[in-house]
Formats: sequence, structure tokens, C-alpha cells
Amino acid sequence: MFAAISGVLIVGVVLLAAGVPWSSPLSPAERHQLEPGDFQIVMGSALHTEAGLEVGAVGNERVALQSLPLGMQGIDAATLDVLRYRFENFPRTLELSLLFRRASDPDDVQVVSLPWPGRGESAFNLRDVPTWKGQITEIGFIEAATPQLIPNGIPFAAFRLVDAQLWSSSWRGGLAALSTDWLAYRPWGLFAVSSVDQEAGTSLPRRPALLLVVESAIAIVGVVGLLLFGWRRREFRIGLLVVFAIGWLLLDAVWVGQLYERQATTRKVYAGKNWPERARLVPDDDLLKAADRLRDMVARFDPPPRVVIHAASPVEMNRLQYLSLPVNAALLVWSIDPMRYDFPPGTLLVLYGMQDWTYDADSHQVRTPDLTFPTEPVLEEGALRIFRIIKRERP
Amino acid sequence: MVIYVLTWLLILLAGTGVAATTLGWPRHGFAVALNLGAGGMLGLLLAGTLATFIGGESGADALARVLPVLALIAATTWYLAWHWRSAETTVSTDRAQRKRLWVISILFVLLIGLRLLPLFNEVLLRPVFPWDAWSVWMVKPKAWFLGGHIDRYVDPVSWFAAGDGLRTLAGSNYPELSGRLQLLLASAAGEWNEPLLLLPWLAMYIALLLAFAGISRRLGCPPLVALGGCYALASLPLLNAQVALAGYLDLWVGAALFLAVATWLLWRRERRPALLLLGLALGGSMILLKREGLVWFALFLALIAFDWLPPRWQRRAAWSGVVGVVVFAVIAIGFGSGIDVLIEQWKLPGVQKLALAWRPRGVVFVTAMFTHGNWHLLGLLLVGLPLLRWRQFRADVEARLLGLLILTAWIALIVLFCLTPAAEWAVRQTATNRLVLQLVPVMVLWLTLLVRGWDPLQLDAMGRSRAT
Repeated sequence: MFAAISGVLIVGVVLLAAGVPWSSPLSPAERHQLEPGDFQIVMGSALHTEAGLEVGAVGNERVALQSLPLGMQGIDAATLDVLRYRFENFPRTLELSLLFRRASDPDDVQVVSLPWPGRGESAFNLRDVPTWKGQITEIGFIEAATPQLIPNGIPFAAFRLVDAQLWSSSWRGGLAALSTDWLAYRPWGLFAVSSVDQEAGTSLPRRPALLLVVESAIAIVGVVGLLLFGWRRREFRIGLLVVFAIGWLLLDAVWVGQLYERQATTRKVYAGKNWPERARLVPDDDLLKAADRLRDMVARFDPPPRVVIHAASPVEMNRLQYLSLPVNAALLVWSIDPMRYDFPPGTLLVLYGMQDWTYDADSHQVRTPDLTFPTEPVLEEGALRIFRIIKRERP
Repeated sequence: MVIYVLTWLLILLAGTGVAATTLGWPRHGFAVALNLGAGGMLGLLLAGTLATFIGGESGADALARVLPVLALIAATTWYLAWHWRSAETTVSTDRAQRKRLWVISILFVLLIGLRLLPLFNEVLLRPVFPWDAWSVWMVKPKAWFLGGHIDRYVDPVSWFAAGDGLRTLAGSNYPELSGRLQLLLASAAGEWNEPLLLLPWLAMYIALLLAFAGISRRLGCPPLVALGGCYALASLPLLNAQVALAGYLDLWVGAALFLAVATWLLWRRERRPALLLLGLALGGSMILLKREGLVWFALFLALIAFDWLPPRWQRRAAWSGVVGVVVFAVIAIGFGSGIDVLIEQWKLPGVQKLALAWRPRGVVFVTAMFTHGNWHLLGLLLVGLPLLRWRQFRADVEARLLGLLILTAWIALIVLFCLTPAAEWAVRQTATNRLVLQLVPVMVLWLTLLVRGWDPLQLDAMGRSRAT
């Protein structure tokens, strides 16, 4: 009795977590097949084969994009709200995103990060995407190196889109999407060291976490046990202990699975390489090259000058400072009050990706809308520009 | 590489030597775990502290000065530990009990060990990854090692104003223990090899687990409870993430706080001054690790002082604390802006505006204990177990003291995240979880103490004699 009541209630919680309308049928009433052979190649290259769409290369931006127009009328987002997708050999170094366009907003392309496809079929509950509404006139997939994690130097590996479907609401689809949400591999993110799920990376869970379901299950067993047996009965305490232990082990099994998936990605990128090779394999290798150039440049001066770095984002500034060590550098954002930027002559001013900071050769000045720096150019290479501060002329 | 391995060996020998001298000679299972675990932690903290205070002007200096001192400490402490070792205790020869203990131990070692392979791979393969590691914590040692000289770090204004020989960084005034240790290891390795410098994180994690099992056993937990607590701690996802993406020091602060509190609890039982000194030294080491270590150390000292008071004064101190917190909260919530006006008028040196106000969004860091995947079911345990074991909690002075420490630490966090502008960190979940992590080993120890009377497998008779 105790087990039966608790079991039914726990199943109810799982169904609730799936977020499927209670009136939905077990299997989808409507399925819209997205034929791999119908996809158009927008970026990268691919071949249409009997087995599916073979994506063999990425485009100039290291992105592959396949798109499928759905006609002028499109499909109804409210009706078809579960995406099922299956890829073969999808590289764990890539991130998969869904692209779609709405009839109401034809110039605006919506992009949503999808759980990594892994092996077998995956599902995604499109009800979790606020912009999935109205008539959808185009749908597609985007594949790109996992941001903040995968170095550009990792070669692209071919993969195949085998199957993709849009399903109407059903328990089968909802539970499949819930399972994918809980169990799909999610790569390490820059903030995973502060939070392993929320804010950890780009592909975040969207359904109520397995943790919440487990906690609910424990609460259910506790309340049912209390009502049936009372506080002091052994059955109550044993039931609670057992469900708690199973819950913890279940959560841990899922987490350890994640750890193994993540280390598989790490091994894919770094295993079998010596340290000097691995040290060059960073996600921001453009910054690494810029840091090398900066270090070379500083080495040409005796004594080595001090350096002030400014870049378009705090990440780039801090990374450039770290990667260029032992260069003695400060970050502009952490420096003194902007109105008092008056760096000693000889200081190197390093700008990375700061296109709105212009150099006026006539007046020998780097200019921003608010500031001027008396400088002479030292190096300009792509996003990296280095200037040497010269003596400011007295007005 | 030989010197790198030798450095690790000396760190371990010196640390385990100190552990053997203060915590006792490692005779059997759990005592060996305690010696290795506490020794590993002590060795790392000791090496970092020595490198900080006698490390000289460069990595080469640090190597030349610290290694001989570590060797001297190792030799002295192991000699003293051998000299002072007590007679061997009797152990149970009940084969059924021993078999059960072995089976249980192997099961838990497997459960814990499952995650070591991926953690090992993550640490040993990847260049430094998480944000603060490359923006703050590893900047100094890298500059010192590659620059060949330990330059002083100052704030940017001083850097521009002063001459050469200075460097600057966003966290220029952050403690340097970990950086000095990494400089020592880099000098020993002879290269700036990041995985080799992040290996102490994996070592600290394993050491923490071994020390946890050993010390909870020593504090009277049956083997099942000690190992269960150890597994619970080992399995926490955010703790694993701090190892896999090594470079943040929250794990270190948490480990130091845990061992400090645990050795102090042992001192309360055994009254050997070495244990109290060790606890205080470990507590003090938190200040050398991270700035918030000062807060935890202050709370730890307050707890020691509280325990020292006669019962009547303890009650008065507790009520004074409650009233103090309530009064502070009322003033902060009701008159926060008024306080800032006063601060502005008085212009006290070094005192900035506090911007105290009630910020309900900050509470999100408490709810995250139950809703985010960082802690498995720890949040539920922290609420439920004291209720289920209320009678044991009231009867157990060690559990009460640990509970008081945890309560005051949580009050400090709530004040920080709900009354100050730090609430923004709580909303973004960046610093909050990591601050909670610093308390987690102590919280898990508290939970194991609450169930230490529970021994369904009847393993304690043998275990207790072994652990002594």
C-alpha cells in the first residue's frame, strides 16, 4: 500500500516535470517529417545520401548550417512542439543549435541551443522556447565548435543527420524530451566552477531538474509514510532512508556519467599530446597569437616597457594579460580614473579589437570620443594594434 | 621532473609527519587514512606557507630554501611521532565483522573512486580553464616564474606612479599562498606546465576525503557512517567541478576550515595542546588562502571562546548574539541609507558607504541549495536530519558546537547576500555557491556526527578499538 501510493505519486511528479498537457495522447497525433534530403546547405558542405545528410566541412566562420524551408504557410508552432532528432557520429567538440524563422517576423532568425545529440534519438520540448510561436516558415541546424571550450585547431569531423521530426504534444515525446534534458551531455562552461548547471555554459537544462523530482519523491514517501505509519514506525524510517539513498545514488550516477562524457571531450582535444602542444590548444588561439606578438614586441625594448591593455571585452583583456606574461601589463579598465589616463612616455598601449579607437597620423594621437593618447604606432596585425605613448605636448 | 617528484615527496612526508606527531601514529585503516589525508592537506598548506614567508626573491630561491626545511620538518616530526607513539591497541578478531567492514569499505571506495579517473584526466590534460584562475590566482606565479623574479603586486594607481619592479593586477592584494606554492612547483618542474601546477587541487580533494573518513571515525562515527559521509562529500558536483576545473581556492578554504574545526574537536576530547595549536594554525592558514578566510577564522575563534565560557555565560553570549543579529538587521533594513549619510559626513578613513538594505533577491543562494544540481540532496539533509535527530543533537555537545558554527556562518552569508550590494552575486550564482562550498566539508561532518549513534551493521566494536 505504502509503496503503491508513493509510486503512483512519484510517477505523477515525473509526468508533471515533462510539462505535457494532461489531455495529450500517449503517442503524437501528428508528425512532420523533416527529410534530411530536403535540407539546403547554407554554410559548410554536405552530401545528400540515402542514409541521410552527410555534413563534411564547416564554412568560413567554422560553422555548418543546414536549413529547410517549410513553405509560405509553414507549420503551426503550437501544434508541433516537440523536436526529435538523430545524428550519427556527431563530434563531441561541436555544439548543436536549432534555427527557425517565423512568418510574422521573416527577417529575424531565432537560434536555440539544443542538447548534444549523442547516440540514439534525442528530443527537445519546444514549449520551453518562448519564441516558438505562430507559423514557422524555416527550420534548420547549426553546428559550431563549443564556445569557450574547444580550440579552433581541432579538426572538423564529419557527421550525418539521420532523422528529424516535429511531433505534436504526446506523453512519449514529452518524456523523451525530459530524458534528453536530464541525461544529455553538457560541456564544461566557463562558470561551471561556480555552478554546475545554471549559468554553467551555453546549453542549459530547461525542464525541472532531476534533483527536484528526487526531492519531491522523498517528500512524498515522507508524507505518505507519516500518514500511514506515524512518526515512530520502522517502515516509515526505512522507506525514507531507502528512497533517500536511491535518490542520492541516482543523482550521483547521472553526475558521474556527465563527468565521463566531459572527460571524453577533454581527451578528444588534448590526449596524446605533450604539454607544449596542449598549451597552444586554447579556445581563444587568436588571443594566444596576439599575446605572442606582444611578448615579442616587448622583448625588443630595453628596458622592457610597461604595457596597458584594452580590449572589447573583459575576457579578452584578462586573457591577453595572462597569455602574454611575463609582460608587465595593466588593464585599462582597472587603471586609474579615465579622465586621468596619462601614461608615462614609453608605455605600450595595446588595443585588441577596439575598432572605435582610431589613430590620427597627423596629430600622432589615438582617439576615442572622450580621450586622446599621444602615441606612435608600433604594430598593427589583425585585431591587435600596439602603440607607444609619446610625450604629451603642453597646450 | 626528478625535483618535481622529490618536492611532492617532501610535501607529503612533512605533512604526514606533522599529522603523525599531532594526530597520533597511524596504525590501522582509518588512522592511516587520517594520517595520509590530514598529512596531504598539511603538507600542501605548509609548503605554500613556507614559500610565502621564506621563499626569497625567485622560484630558485624558494626551491633552495623550502625543500631543505620541508626535509627537516619531515625527519623531525616522523622521529618524534615514532618516539611518542602509543602502545598498539587491541583489535577485534571477529571474522564476520572484519569481512563486513571490508565489503563496505570496498563498496564505498569504488563509489568514490569512480570519479577519480575523469577528474584526473581533466586536471592533467587541460590548460588552466576557469575565469578567476587565469585572471587572478595564476597570474602572479606565472609572472614570477617566467620573469625570474618575485615582483611585488600593487594596485594600478601605485603601479603607474612608482618605478620598475612592480606589477599590477585586479586582485593585487589577494593572498598569495597558492601562488607561492605554484611557483615552487613550477621551479621544481623547471617549466610553466599548468597541469603539473594544478595537480595540488586533485591531491587536496583526495586528502580531504581521506581525512574526513579518518577524523569522523576518530570522533566516534561507526565505519558505515564515516564512509557514507565521506562518499556524500566526495560525490558533491560542485566539489568535483572545483577539482576538474582546478584553479579556484574554495576547495582549499573548505578543507582548511574542516581540518581546523575537526582537530579542535579532537582537542576538546583529548586535551593535547598540539591538537589545539594545529587547529589554530589551520584556521590561520585560511587567511593566507582567501580573504573570506578571515571571516571563517574569526567565527572559528569565536566558537572556541564560546566553548570556553561557563554554561551560564554561554547562554548569555548566545542571547546577546541573537539580539545583536536582530538589532543589526533592523538597523540595516530600516536605516541603511541613514548609516551611509553618517559615513559620508564623518569621512572616516578607509570606511566606504555600506549601502545596507533588504535585498530579497539575495535569498536565491539559499533556495539554490534545493533547486540546483551543485549539492545533490545535501540541502534536504541539512534541514531534515537535525529534525529527525533532534534529541541526539541536543544531547551531543560536539554536534551543537558545530551546528552553532554553521548557523553563524550562514547568518554571515545571509547578511552579505541579502543586506549588501553583494546580492548581485547571489542572483548571478557566481560567488554564492563557492562560498557555500567553503562550508560544505564542515556541514557534512556535522551531519555525520548527528547520526554517529547509528550502526546497523554492528561494525563499531571493532572499528572503535582500531580507531583509537
